[in-house]
Amino acid sequence: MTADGWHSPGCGVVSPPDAGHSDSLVSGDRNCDCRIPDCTVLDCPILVVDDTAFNRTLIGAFLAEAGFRQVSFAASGFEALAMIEAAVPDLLILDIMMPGMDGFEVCRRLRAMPETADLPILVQTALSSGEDRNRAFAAGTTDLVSKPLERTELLARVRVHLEDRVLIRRLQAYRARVEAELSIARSMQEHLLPTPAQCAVVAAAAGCRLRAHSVISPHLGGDLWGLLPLGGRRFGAYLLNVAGRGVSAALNAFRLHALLQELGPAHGEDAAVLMTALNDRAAGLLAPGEKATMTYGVVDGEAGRFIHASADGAPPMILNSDGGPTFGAAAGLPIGIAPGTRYRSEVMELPRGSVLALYSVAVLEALDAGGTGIGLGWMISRAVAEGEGFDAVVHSLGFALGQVSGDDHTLLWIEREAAA
Amino acid sequence: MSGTPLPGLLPLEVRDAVDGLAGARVLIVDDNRINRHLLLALLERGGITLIEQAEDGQDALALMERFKPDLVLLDLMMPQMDGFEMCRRLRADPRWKSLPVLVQSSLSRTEDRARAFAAGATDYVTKPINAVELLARVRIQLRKRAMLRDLEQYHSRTESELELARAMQARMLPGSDRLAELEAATGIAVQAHFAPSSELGGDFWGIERLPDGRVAVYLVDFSGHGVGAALNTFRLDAICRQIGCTDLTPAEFLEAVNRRLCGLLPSGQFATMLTGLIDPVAGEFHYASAGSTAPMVWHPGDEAPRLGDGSGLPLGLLPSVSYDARRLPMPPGARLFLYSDAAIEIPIEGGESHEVLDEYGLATLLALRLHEPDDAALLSGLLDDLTATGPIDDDLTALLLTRQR
Repeated sequence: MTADGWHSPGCGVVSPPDAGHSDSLVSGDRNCDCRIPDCTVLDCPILVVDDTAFNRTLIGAFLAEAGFRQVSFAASGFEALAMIEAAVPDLLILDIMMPGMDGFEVCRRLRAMPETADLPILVQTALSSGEDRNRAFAAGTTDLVSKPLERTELLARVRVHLEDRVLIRRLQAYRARVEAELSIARSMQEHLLPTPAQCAVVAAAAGCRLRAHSVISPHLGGDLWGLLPLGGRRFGAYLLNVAGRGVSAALNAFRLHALLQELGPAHGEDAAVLMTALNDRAAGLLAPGEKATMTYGVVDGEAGRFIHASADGAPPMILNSDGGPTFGAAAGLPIGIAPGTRYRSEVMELPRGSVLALYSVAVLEALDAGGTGIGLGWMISRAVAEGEGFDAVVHSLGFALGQVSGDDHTLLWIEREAAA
Repeated sequence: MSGTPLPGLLPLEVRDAVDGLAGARVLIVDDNRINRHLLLALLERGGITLIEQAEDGQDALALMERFKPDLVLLDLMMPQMDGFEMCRRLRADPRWKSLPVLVQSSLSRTEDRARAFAAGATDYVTKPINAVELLARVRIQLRKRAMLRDLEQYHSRTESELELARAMQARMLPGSDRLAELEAATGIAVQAHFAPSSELGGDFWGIERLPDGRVAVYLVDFSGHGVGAALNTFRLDAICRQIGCTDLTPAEFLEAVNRRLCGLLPSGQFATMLTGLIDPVAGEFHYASAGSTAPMVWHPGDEAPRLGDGSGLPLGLLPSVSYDARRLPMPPGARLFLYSDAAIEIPIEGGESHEVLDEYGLATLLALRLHEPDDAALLSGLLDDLTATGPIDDDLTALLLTRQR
């Protein structure tokens, strides 16, 4: 990967000469990207606050000898706060006993400001004074170094805190960048789906009411559905799921969406023809192992039928006001497996007042997990029997899928009007 | 203070993000039973419940694998194996390299502290134990470890996911075998450079030999970069392959792509695209451009590249746009250079504010290398020049096409 800052240009990973634990906060066995190159830490700005000139010189000499290049000094608490206001350093080395404003007060003030709330503060205290040490922690110090100052200890502490800071900042920056990228991508994926207004117009033309429930994972995913307006009280509806998860599944979902936009106007009237054409085109785009399950069908509001083809999609379910649910039986290979596959259409009756439910396989799998025998059919029939319909199903879906959140799922609910 | 977090130890953001103490496992290593019980009681009062004890280093090392602690509280002076040795052994094992080791010892001399740090201790507290200080340090280490673990998990998960997607995007571009095939069949050699600014990018290019002997080439640059822009390249690839470029002029092809993209792209997103046909019989490059960069062509003996015209409305903005048919002479031996706008939007270091390397600046850099006979050397030399000019913070694609005959 080439993400900013992850690879450090022109600077190898160097272990400090005196401490074997420079990378001790990272799992070195797994991810060497996370190791902090020495030069990054050495370039972190450090502010030393001490009213005694000798101490400033001593600490400065220790740090300079260890290679730290950006060390500044303040002789009082006031001066330190003014300097921090101008530019927040990566680490503060703070003396406690100072005239004017002591170290405790500096600590408290810095912790009260959001921009310095997480600034590592290393306080110098005498080893013997337990009271001071408690007060220092209470005032918000991150860590202590003992007075009289000891070179190895000081450098070890400075290093540990700077490495943490650099590492956490990098990981946070990485996360912020990726989350921002995914959030844009997710809104684009949502943009592929028909709006409620479009659903209303397209379905009304066929004497139906269409409601959709779709959840797109924040990490993206391969779920997609859409509508094709057709003439003569009909419309087409598809629901597809690209195998796999995350960004790569979404990339293929976008490909298939583009193909459906191309093929829909020409072949949308015939479910089997559309599916066959899509599969032929998709086979040229998808790599071996990449595939999608899909259901496409034409809702005919005039004839009261749903004619569909299936590429291993979850079977469509039709709920009549009398009797149990009817499931579609069309079968076919997933999209992208074998070019030249010929799909067949199946006709299902869609009487007035009945409901056609299309749903993603994820819904089915989530409900069937554990072999409870309580499937989507059971849940939907019950919801309908109790007269609650779509909202109740969505509600129980949320309940059932709560455990597997992060996966996308879709439910389309197409109700044919009872009266002409 | 039992259970209540100490104020101000860590920023609120961190405290809220992860409570590192929940489920944290601490191993106490001390040969003195009373000490162990004291530490145990202290930790429990601090809200830590998963605690194991060991009597010396050997005992502790034997426990490590099974208990998998998040922190070790280590005494230094112990029989069998002392704390210094235990620390060194832990650090030598990759599994425990990152484990916080908090040394607690009655050795308070400077040399002892230095030795402990050298052996790999993360931190050091002196006996007699100060309860507030000890708990504060345990918390600092545990919370930090929990936060790092959380961030690292996010990193490793998304990294592998994006790596998968990146490989898919790379597969979409013409591979070296296809380019070799093209070169053998047409005498047109292609050198390509593709560098997204993050894992995925909004740049995309393709090249194809038509049955009549001409060669179609296109270069696309979507607005934005990253995952979102990459989603657009995937659908554009599907569209381009669906349209096919056999029967259309470059301008007609752009118009067809534009009409489709207008229906697909959310408002605010667009793409620039250059598409062209190299006609070896006529010795010309016929092209059309939707706001792309100016193509550059030079012939053997030229002192500077000739700039074509990249102007035109970008794709995805207005469905009814028509594009101009343009041409550049491209006789045998001529070379054609196509690139995404990252190559001409490099801020010039030391220049006036907001000054960038424009098309003329790029042409000037290119002019210095026109006579380099080796395509790969020419392109990589030019890319070095660009990198030396200033930071490139967008997806960069560069194509060098040479008519060898």
